Amino acid sequence: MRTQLSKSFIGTSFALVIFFAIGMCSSLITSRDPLKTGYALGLSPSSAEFIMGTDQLGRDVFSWVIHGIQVAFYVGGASTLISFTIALLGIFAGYYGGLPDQILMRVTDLTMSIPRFVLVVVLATLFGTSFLNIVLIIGGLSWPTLARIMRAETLSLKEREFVLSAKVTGCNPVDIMFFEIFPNILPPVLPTLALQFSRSIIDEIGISFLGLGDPNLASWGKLIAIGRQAIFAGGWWVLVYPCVFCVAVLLCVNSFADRLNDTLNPKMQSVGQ
Amino acid sequence: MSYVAKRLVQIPIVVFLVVTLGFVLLKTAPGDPVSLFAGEGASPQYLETIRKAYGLDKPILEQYKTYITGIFVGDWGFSLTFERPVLTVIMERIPLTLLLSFTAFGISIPLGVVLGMIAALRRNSPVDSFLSSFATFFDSVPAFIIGLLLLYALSVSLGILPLGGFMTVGVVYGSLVERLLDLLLHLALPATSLALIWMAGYTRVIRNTMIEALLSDYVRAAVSRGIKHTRIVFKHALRNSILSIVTLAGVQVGYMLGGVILTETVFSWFGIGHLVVQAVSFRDYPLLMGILFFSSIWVTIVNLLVDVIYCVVDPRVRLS
Repeated sequence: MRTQLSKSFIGTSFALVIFFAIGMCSSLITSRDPLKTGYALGLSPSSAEFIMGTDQLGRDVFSWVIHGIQVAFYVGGASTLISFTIALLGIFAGYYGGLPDQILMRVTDLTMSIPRFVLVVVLATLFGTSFLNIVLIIGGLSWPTLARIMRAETLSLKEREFVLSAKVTGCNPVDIMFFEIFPNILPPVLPTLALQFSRSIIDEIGISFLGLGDPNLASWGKLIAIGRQAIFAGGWWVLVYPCVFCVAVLLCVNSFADRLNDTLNPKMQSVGQ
Repeated sequence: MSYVAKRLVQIPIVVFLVVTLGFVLLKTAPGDPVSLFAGEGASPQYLETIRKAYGLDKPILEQYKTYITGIFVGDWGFSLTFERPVLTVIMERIPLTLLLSFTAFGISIPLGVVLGMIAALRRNSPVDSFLSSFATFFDSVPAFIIGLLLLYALSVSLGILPLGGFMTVGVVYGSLVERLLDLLLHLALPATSLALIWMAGYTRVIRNTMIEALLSDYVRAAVSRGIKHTRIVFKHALRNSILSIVTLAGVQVGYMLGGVILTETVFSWFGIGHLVVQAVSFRDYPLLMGILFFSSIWVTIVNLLVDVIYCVVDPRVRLS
């Protein structure tokens, strides 16, 4: 079973790398500006010139779909990085306990008492939606789960011999947290990060679909919203292509997270395999 | 019971904190809500009048006090779009959201449990890997995208289901049955897209907890005592998965107001989710804040209920 497991792990990683490469090279793959109107006279089906057709305003769907990969990776990467950075507080809280721990837990309680997407929409409406705002909002709302995992892991690790011996030999607490504890909490943290990556992409697609996204970003959400209109004029390609690519990327990221979890936490591995 | 009482006290505290958060957000948001409300080119005198009328000329702490007491006595402000009290507007929309989401739960929980059981009993077979990939697929994809694709295929292309809304406009129903049938047709697509996504969670959870149970010592002991297979599956293994179903259902019901926003938008289903979008597009801040408070009260109450159910289902929780 082991070889089969790592095979699907390699498979999903490989697919992700391919998507990442396409996203980063999007400007080389297509020279058309995804947001520029008037490449064609209006809604036109796929042809040699426009592989995926054009939308109502003559924008090139292929170019938008390809640039959308880049946007998805930027949004996912930046939000996850922000979330991860804030969540590191969980290690401090778990290590020191006491008041900082109490405060952190109450803050996570508060954010977890509001449905995340409702708060994302409220914040996006109030504070506007530049790329920076979007990733700050999404990242700033994703960290509590991660911080709780980090805290719980730190709590169980700080009583272990290797941490105690580091303490006894006079290591300073920051070194202990970052060189002793941090590397050991990664197994549960990394798959969670991968899942947050895809959740962030979903959130951004959602707010762009509602028309709250950054107007300068070629987000799939906005194209899907255009496609929702286009299907009534027969332009299924404006809806279907971005949906397919979005589903493919999300599926890759989530399967990658699953396989990463199986590999890093073999005890918790989906039993029976 | 003292535990439940303790948890009940937490509800007003959470409301207080969320309202405070909402107030801070409103006050720190860029842009002046009054001029936004008055529209472009409003005279300074007019702006001043509105400011006075809404008490926005008072010191900020006093505004905060008025705001927070208002929430607790049921005065949630006035919706600018609907020109009616926010709480009334929200209450009008709840039934449709509840209808949609509970139909979706009604489909997803039993179906998810059955599929999860099949996968667990046939583990490592082609059936299992098919069901597992099926679950992974719907676990990864947002419901509104499934909804849009279904909408295109079944409503726009084939025309067998309505495009959206919750009733056919301008139809006079001959009977109640006809009316219910119409509602059901409108409910079909949004409920299916939510149900597919929610079902995936149950399938995965039931599969994993069932396999764990089937491989456990107490099931092995039951087998060796010669207890019938079906009895073991239902009485010993499935029973052990109930807690994880309760947990997942609690999370889904609690956060459903976030989950339905996009699906309701796609199908113009006039529930709370659709209301959020209306509040956003008209910059109706009082309404938007009202929905924010309402959704967090909902989460808190559902969490409390889940804890009570835990106590009922699992004696170990009661003892600790």
